[in-house]
Amino acid sequence: MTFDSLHPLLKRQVKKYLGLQEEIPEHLFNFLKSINQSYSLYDSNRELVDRAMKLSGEELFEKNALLFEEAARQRALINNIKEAIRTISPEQEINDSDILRIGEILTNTVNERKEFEKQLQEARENAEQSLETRKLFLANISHEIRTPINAISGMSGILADTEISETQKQYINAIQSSSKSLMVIVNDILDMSKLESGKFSAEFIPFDIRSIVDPLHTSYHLRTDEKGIAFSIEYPEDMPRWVFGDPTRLGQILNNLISNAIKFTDQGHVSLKITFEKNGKQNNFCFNVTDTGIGIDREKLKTIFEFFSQEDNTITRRFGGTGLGLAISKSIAELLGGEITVQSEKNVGSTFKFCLTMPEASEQIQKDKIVYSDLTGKNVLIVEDNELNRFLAVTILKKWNANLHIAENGVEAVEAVKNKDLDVVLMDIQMPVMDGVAASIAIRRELNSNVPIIALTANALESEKEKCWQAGMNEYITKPYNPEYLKEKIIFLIENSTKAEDHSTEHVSMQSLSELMNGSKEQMIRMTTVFLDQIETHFNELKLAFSENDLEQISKITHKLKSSFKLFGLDKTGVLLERIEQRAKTLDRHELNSELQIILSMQPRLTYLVQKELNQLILSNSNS
Amino acid sequence: MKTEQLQWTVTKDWDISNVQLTNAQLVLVFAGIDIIENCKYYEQLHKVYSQANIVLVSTSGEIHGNEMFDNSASATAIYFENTPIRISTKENTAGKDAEQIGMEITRELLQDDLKHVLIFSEGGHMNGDHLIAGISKHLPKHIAVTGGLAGDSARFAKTQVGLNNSLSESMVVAIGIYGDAIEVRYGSNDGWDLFGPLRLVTKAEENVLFDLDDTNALELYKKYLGERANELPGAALLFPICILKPDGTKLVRTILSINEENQSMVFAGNVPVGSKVQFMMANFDRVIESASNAATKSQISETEYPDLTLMVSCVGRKLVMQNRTEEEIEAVAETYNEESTFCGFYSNGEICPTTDGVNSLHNQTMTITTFKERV
Repeated sequence: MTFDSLHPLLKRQVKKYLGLQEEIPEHLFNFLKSINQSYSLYDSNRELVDRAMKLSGEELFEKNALLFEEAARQRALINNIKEAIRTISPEQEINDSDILRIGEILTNTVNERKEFEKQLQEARENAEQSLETRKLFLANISHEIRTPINAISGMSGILADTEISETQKQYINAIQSSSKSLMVIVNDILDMSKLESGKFSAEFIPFDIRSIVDPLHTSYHLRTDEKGIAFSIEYPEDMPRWVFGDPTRLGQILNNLISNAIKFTDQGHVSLKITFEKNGKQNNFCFNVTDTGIGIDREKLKTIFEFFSQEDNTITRRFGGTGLGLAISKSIAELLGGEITVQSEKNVGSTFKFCLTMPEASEQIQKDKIVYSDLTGKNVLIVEDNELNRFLAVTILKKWNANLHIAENGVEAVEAVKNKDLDVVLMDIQMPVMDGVAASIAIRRELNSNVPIIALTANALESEKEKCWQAGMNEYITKPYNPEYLKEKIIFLIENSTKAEDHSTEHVSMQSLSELMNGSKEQMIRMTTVFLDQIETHFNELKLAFSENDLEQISKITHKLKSSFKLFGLDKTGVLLERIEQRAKTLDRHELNSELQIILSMQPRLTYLVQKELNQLILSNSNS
Repeated sequence: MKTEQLQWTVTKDWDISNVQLTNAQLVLVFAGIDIIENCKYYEQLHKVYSQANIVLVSTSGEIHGNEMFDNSASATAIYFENTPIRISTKENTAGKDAEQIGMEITRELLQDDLKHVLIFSEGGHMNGDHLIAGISKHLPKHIAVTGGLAGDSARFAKTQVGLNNSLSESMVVAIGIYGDAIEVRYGSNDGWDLFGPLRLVTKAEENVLFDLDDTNALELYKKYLGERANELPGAALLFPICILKPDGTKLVRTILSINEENQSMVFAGNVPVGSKVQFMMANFDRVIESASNAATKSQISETEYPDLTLMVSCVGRKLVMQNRTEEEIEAVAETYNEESTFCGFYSNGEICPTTDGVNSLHNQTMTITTFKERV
């Protein structure tokens, strides 16, 4: 430290008070050094503090600017909120500075909103539940209605068979036709609820498309004749016959479209035109149902396929119907992979069109059917008292190269069965000396013969049908019969008779069910109705599985079915189902196929037997 | 209690001609880092005080009487008439937990009649906060821990602590003082001026500080130092920070080093996240005054002066005060009317309870421990 390096202030003071000029005397050195340090430290500290003040000031300014900005934003935000609150609830008083109040109002509003959402949610859940309940109700009510209608039509049939006057017969006819209409409506509703709940399934089995189309002519020409309009069915000669698809549903759509067309047409014609396009193994079939009826307004075209939609209410009054038919047809067509479209002009007519792709059935399937197109070498007994009918039967059967045997009454028939090795018996019912039913009972019980018996009768009464089944007959065909149909039945029975046990004598016994239900008729009616449905659904599933050769599915279905059959005393059928289940499990295809054919052929008879018991139950329940 | 002091310098050996306390139980030796490794002074001392435990501590300046020396050795021999002592030594070897060391020390020293713990630790690597926390963990609340971390002439590289003929860079020596005859007082004061705004520690790991108020702490620090930032890292010692811990205790922390690479500052003690900090600067008058404040706090009574006064002052104070350093020692001596034996050293960290009685590591303070034995 030199004199010159002293702090300027200290230097001046030293000069002034100590009179020093250049040199620091030794005895003052440390003293001045210490003072000098203090002066320097003071300066540097002041510099630090000044800088700190300046920096802090700047920081404060920046922070303040940010705060002002933030405050302005807050004010704007609060104003927005206040504005929003005034919009939501104008009655709320908001003090300009009262943020807490705003918070309170907002909380209330949010809570109200939440409560509202909760109510909405509850309402939605209720609505969904009631929709579900409605569907269930529809399905149930349809069953409940169907059962008594069956009883009405069955019982009125029995009534018609008794001694009654011509007027009474007319009444009965009216009852029967009304119950038929009612049945159509109920079936429509049932179909609709099935479609809505997605429980509607389509089959995929080989079938002859002409067997669906051709009978439409027979079904409708009477009505079109009555109305004085023309009805025609046209398709190309080379249209494939055997295809895979759902014959029942195809028939349902066609029936619906044609009956609709006839309903709304008073003059001109109704026609079904089928075109097809071959595309490899696939066939694209287009079905056009054209009429010259009242037509449909352009605006209504969009809604006619909706459930419960008819063009307008006056239509319902004028033409009747549920308004479900078209919607169901459309849904079914979609299920089968097609779409129904419509072209229409008011007062000119309408064309409903839908196209389905149905693959051609394999050659094997067609061959299976062709192999038995002949009855060569088969011994057929014709039991017929009427000479003309006998002549007709002989003519037809000769064409198929059968060995023919003739009996003119029941006694002769029993005699023939006893002495000859017959393959099948065609049995008329009403005959002198001994009728067909008595003869069949004799053949089954006295001769203990299993020879297939087909009832051929002009009488389509249910009561007679039942008598036939009870007598142990295998099939029931009403005259005038379709020769092809007769041949099919004969072939089927001959094919299966050797393997088939005598299922024809089987009867329904309600005893087990009655015990199970403690004799409650209502419960029994419910169970029997369910069983009837089960037969229908499961047999359809079985057919599908059969056509797809799905052994696993066959085993599953037969397993489900067998116990129900046993419950209704149908033990033999139950045993047969059990055997099929076993064969399906052990992959015994050959035996399985023939037994499946037997069981499938039994469906109409089984349905008949169970339906009959059901009718009986309903009758006795209503009596008591 | 009887005490006597000897001094060793490069030019002058111990003057053992007048030694009286040959039966002293404890000798405290504070020596410059370059001197302490020289064993000559120890051999001579051991010959004179053959019954004593000789505690060796390297320093950044030795306090001997009311003077301060560099590169000397100062020995204070203590004869306790009625006060037992016990010594525990630990090695702060790599990987060892400082808190664990502290707990072990307490386990070894704790007895019903333990009165005070005097501690001297190496000051190069030891985490003083953890060490003290460890010692205090199972120590009754009324027992204070005082002492300091060894220094190395402000080089901040390696320090030395030893007991008798063992000396090491990693040693901790703790002296337990027992019985009712001894009275111990202590006091600590910094006297630094606060400047600039209070800031919040938002990112820190142990004794490494990263962010204040979510902005880079080093950058902020440099901004406030202005041109003096060019003198970093040396200047860092002149501008400590004051920490207001969340629990309310106030501590001064010296900046040991700065790391330009990861923009961090390393302190001589932990800087917990959530603490508030403020920059500090020195003012001679107040720093010197603080020393006499510390002395007043550690006074035995208004009429009695201590037998022995141990001063542990921060190396940072010495760097600021330069040739005025001795003034703070004189201020302490004056407070006791020069009627006590004064010893001590300039350290890397002072140990003493805070005002609310929590044993803590301090920076930038004059920390005084006074002893009075009643016969």
